[in-house]
Amino acid sequence: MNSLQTIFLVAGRDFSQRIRSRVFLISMAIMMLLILGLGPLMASQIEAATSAATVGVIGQPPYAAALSESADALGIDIEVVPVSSRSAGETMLSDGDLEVLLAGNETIWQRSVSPSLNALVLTAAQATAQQEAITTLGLSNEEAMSLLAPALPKSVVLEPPDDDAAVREGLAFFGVVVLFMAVVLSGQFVLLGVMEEKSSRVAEVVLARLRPMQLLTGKVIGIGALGLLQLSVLGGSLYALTRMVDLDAIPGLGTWTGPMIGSLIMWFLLGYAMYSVLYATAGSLVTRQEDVQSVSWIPMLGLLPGYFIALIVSEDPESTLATVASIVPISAPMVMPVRAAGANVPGWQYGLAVALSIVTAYLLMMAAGRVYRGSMLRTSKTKIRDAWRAAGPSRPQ
Amino acid sequence: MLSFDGLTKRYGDVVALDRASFDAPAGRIVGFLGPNGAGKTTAMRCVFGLAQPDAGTITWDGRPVAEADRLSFGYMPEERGLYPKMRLSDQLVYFGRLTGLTPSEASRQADYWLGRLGLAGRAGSKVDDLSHGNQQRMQLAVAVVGHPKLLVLDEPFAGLDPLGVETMADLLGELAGSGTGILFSSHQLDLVEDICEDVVIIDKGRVVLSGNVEELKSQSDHVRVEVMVDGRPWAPESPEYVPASRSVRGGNFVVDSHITMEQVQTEAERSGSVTRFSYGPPHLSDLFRAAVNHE
Repeated sequence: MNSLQTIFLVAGRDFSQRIRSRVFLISMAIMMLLILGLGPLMASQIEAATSAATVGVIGQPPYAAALSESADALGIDIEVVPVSSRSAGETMLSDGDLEVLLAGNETIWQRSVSPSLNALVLTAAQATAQQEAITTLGLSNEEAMSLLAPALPKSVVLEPPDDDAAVREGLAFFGVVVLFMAVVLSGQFVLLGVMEEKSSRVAEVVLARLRPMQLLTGKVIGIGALGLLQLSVLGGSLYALTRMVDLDAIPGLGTWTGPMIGSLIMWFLLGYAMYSVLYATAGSLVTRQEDVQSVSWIPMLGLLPGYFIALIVSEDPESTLATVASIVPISAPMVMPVRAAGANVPGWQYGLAVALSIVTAYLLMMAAGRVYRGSMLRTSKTKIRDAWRAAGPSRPQ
Repeated sequence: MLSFDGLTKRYGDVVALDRASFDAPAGRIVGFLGPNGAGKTTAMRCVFGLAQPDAGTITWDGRPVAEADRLSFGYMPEERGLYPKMRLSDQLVYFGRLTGLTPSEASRQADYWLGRLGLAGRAGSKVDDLSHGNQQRMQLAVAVVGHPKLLVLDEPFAGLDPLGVETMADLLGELAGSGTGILFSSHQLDLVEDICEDVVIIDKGRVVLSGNVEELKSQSDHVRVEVMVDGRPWAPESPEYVPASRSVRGGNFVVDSHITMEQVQTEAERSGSVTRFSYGPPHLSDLFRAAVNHE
């Protein structure tokens, strides 16, 4: 059996033991149901927000004919419903069947005046009045046009807003919270898994058959695969959610959700690769649940600042802080996705950030692996320095 | 054959192993004896690379022990260790596969060993839910899965009830019969005497006695004597007749072989009427005491 097979054997054990645990399955099911349950809810909200407004009309007010035309011009979707009497109309208003009732020269509302519908009625009434005046005055078409559409200044916007930017930034913000939690959760799994092996002393039995680095790498891969699966299922649910709702209602949501999930998964892998070995080191130093707190700060030392910088950067993705923190490896996994969502990142910077993260993950693996090696076979709480010395640089891995 | 050659290991000022040399041949059961802290566990851990000797070598069939060799060794550490929340069958399959077995062979062997050690009904249980004795059996199963060529067992009998001891002893005999070399440490000297052909006695990191048990007994310069005077256990009072390593409980004691039985009998008759007088080669425990108290 070669080294790679051994590593995958270890990874397979960690993966299959955890995926079968009830806690894991239940928490995954709850999260998926929550996300998917949001779909119909959001769809109905969007439906309500975008459905046609019903306008009741008594008799034939002169402007009724112009209503639909004006509604098209203003981009408002309306449905005109004839109403027999004012009292019937008021009943329909209180039942919520009508948004507004047009009776003679009055517009009647149930509780408050809708500004957009009111503007629509006023525009229709105004247009009708103008048309009547033009007819009465016997103006020619040109005269009428110059009266109705005078040459007004045209608006020119120098930096037209990116319609999708808000959606992209929102997704990135949401994504970085998920990414941070995914790295921390998977990291905690690694920490507890390593601690269990040390405290149950099974490490001695396992390490009699394989090298510490094989055990460490296998564990990191197995639990990482589980984290990836978890993130993919949640990301998939999220993607399914965006397919359930009316995509046109939120510009950019359909376009950006997919790439954003892809980018988050890649940065999760890089972030996890760096931080999981630190969690493993932390786990190898302690044997009791009570001591976990005293070593959890080791990975948090890098993770928390990165997370907070990412939150700051989501407000100002063009800043120098964003540029630096998105390339520095310890913060890059959380800052880069946020920065890339809000600003134009040069390709070389993106590539550099990825490359530096990979190199850092490798170096951390070597350093953390040495501490792990020196502490796994000690039966009590171990100091980093003692473990480092105990392992020794020349010792075979 | 596993050979230790000049193995030395220090922990700071403490000498755990001091140029220790001995063998554990294939198909033999070797008892590894010594007082607490003598270096037994350190020597065993060195076999698996869990401790690194400062000097000396450990060879397997004449070559330094390699990583691949260790896959064919079974190990039961002094501090027992299993995955507490993993089912027994899964755990045995996993350890079997770590020794290089195919999935189907690992699964077949897991079933076999669980049955052989009386754990067949617990295959789906977690280690946490087992009694102490059953955890011990499971620990042995983990050591023997994959049919190792060498078994290194650190205190395998500690904490076992008499039936457990019997099961374990039978199994070790069977494995040795099929060619497995077995090195195990124990403080239960009577038990070691019953099941071992060879012993190695270590004290303060040094091998003080090693060889075939029967040969060691016959070569010993001690004689074990049992004397009853007036129906009560008797022991000599004069210190010059009795070496330091005497055992007087129940009228048994050990004398240097240069003291003749006539001398002992004459001494005993001074105390009364000798109702029982027997002598023979020393027990393993006598050899142990003599070896360890020597310095």
